[in-house]
Amino acid sequence: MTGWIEGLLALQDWLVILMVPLGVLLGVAIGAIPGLSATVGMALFLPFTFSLDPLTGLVLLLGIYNGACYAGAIPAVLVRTPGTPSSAATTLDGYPMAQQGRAGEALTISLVASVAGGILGTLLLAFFAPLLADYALSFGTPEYFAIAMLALTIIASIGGGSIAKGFVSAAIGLLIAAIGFDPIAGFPRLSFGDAQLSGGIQLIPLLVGIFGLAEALTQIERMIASRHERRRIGTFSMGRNWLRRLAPTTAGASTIGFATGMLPGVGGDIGGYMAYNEAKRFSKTPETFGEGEPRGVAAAEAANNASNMGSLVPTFALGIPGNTQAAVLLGALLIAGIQPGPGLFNAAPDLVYGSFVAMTLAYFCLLVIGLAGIRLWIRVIQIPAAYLWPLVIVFCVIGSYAVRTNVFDVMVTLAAGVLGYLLTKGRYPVAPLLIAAIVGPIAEENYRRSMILHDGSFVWLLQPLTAGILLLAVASLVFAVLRHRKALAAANEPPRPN
Amino acid sequence: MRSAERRGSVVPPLLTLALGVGVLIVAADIRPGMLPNDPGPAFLPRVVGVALIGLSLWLMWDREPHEGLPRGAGLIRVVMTIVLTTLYLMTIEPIGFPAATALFLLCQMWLIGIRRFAVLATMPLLISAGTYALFRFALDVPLPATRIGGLLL
Repeated sequence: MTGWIEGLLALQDWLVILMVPLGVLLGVAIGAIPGLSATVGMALFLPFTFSLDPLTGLVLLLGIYNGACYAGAIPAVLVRTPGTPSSAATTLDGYPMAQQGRAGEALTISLVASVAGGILGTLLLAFFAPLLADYALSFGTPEYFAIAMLALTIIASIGGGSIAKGFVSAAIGLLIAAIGFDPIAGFPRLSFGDAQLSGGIQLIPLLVGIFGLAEALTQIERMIASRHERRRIGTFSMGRNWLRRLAPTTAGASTIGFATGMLPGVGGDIGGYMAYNEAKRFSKTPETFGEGEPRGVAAAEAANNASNMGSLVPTFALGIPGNTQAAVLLGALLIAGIQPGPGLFNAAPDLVYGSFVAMTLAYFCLLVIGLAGIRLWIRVIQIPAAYLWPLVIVFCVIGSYAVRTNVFDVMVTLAAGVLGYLLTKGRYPVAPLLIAAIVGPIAEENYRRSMILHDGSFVWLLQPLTAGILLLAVASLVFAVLRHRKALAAANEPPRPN
Repeated sequence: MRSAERRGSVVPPLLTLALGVGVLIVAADIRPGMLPNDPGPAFLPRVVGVALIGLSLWLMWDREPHEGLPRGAGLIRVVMTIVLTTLYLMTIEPIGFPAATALFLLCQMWLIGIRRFAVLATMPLLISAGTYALFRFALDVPLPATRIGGLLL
């Protein structure tokens, strides 16, 4: 309880409170533009937080996260292009609703469901994260190694597409993480005698390049003068009996989304699809899904917002990022000199509980800002790309330069941007690279410490919790391989004659 | 299979294989750890090297579709953007952030297809000055200044 009081007291600072609507506003503007995902937006605005105190910076980034997550639904509904990956499932019913002249209704439903899912997710986060952190206080190096391995296997195998490519991406991330002084002996490695490389690759320039610059290169390659077709928006009302129609779906989808989000590496897009499928399965009229069913929009949006909150459980409680956006938040905390993990709840309760309260406030702000500016956000997707993407590159340069006022970091961003672009062209997922770069050192350090502490014996792998988590990692890998083979078989199956 | 597609399927596994072998070679020169039973600083690079070699074989077998590199105008835009960004970061300290950013934006906007003189003459300067003022003065992010004559911007 004292943690909550400290959190509330921390929010008495007017600057922290100001960051809530500001972050939400920025997030909505970012999420509404296809290509500018929540991760890119958070990476671009990270340098803004350097001069702020940790809670103020964290609240700004969380506001962007929440705002962008909702706003991804705007282009998903209007132009069938999810503004952020987590809104992918929203296109399934949102776009058909727009085609029927019910875009306004779909946008209002997506907003209300996002807010409901987000608030429910925040409450569940505030309940589960301290419990997990308390439990994790008893974890030793074997358990941390096992959790890091679980994160690596899930992240590399669940991103969709080729599992091998996911693992290649993760291996590159591990390699990048290995550059510099090793965590136990302090010897330089993979630095080729270069003083800058010996210091290691900083996380922020890496993620700014992998997400921001790589996306800018992709968009600049595709750049054609496109005009979005003007569509009849229709009424913004959600129709009669909306609460009775949508509340059960929203509540169920939020729970599924939150539970999915807690698994390291599972993003809102997977949570959204899972909740959508369950809403369809439990519906008395499943045939209406995919044809402009409001419950489909509500399920997808509630789930992806709740999933984002779920992803913050391992981030706060274990210091292991739940998804790529959480990795950016983790980076912001590390830059501020704060070590996320179970100790954080006792070391900085004002930061943890203050951010929980701020996230709830952010969702109420989102409701007001979303409803008040819904017609304006529709116009945001028409911002000319010719101005936007060069400016994104400038922000990438500022963001990486500002970390240590060092041109070397900007070079890292450029190299990471080119690498991210090439990986994207080859359909290699980039998220495993970033998360492996964060989780890799945790896995390595805890593995080596476990070996030293147990005199070179592997007996620590058989401790019940460690073995259980490692078995989960193997199971997730087997599950992913089977799922992938099934998808390949379905794709190769010849079409049935009519 | 078209030659470009065949090349696209073979090049990534070969690059992965080369990277894995290269990592193992470099890892061989890393000093061993000093603590007893420590797998050592070379442990992670070795694991990654072996994993990359294994993954290269998996990639050869597992031929997933890929987009391939761009061609024509798209390729020129990407390559020129990388060149311009490289020049931008090389000039950011010698000539300062405002001047380097304005020059970069001017070239980049022209590259993307903006040809209106009024836009090219004003937008890069306005954006550059605006972002510099925002970061340097409002957010206290230290960006290199531009010196024009005796005036420090």
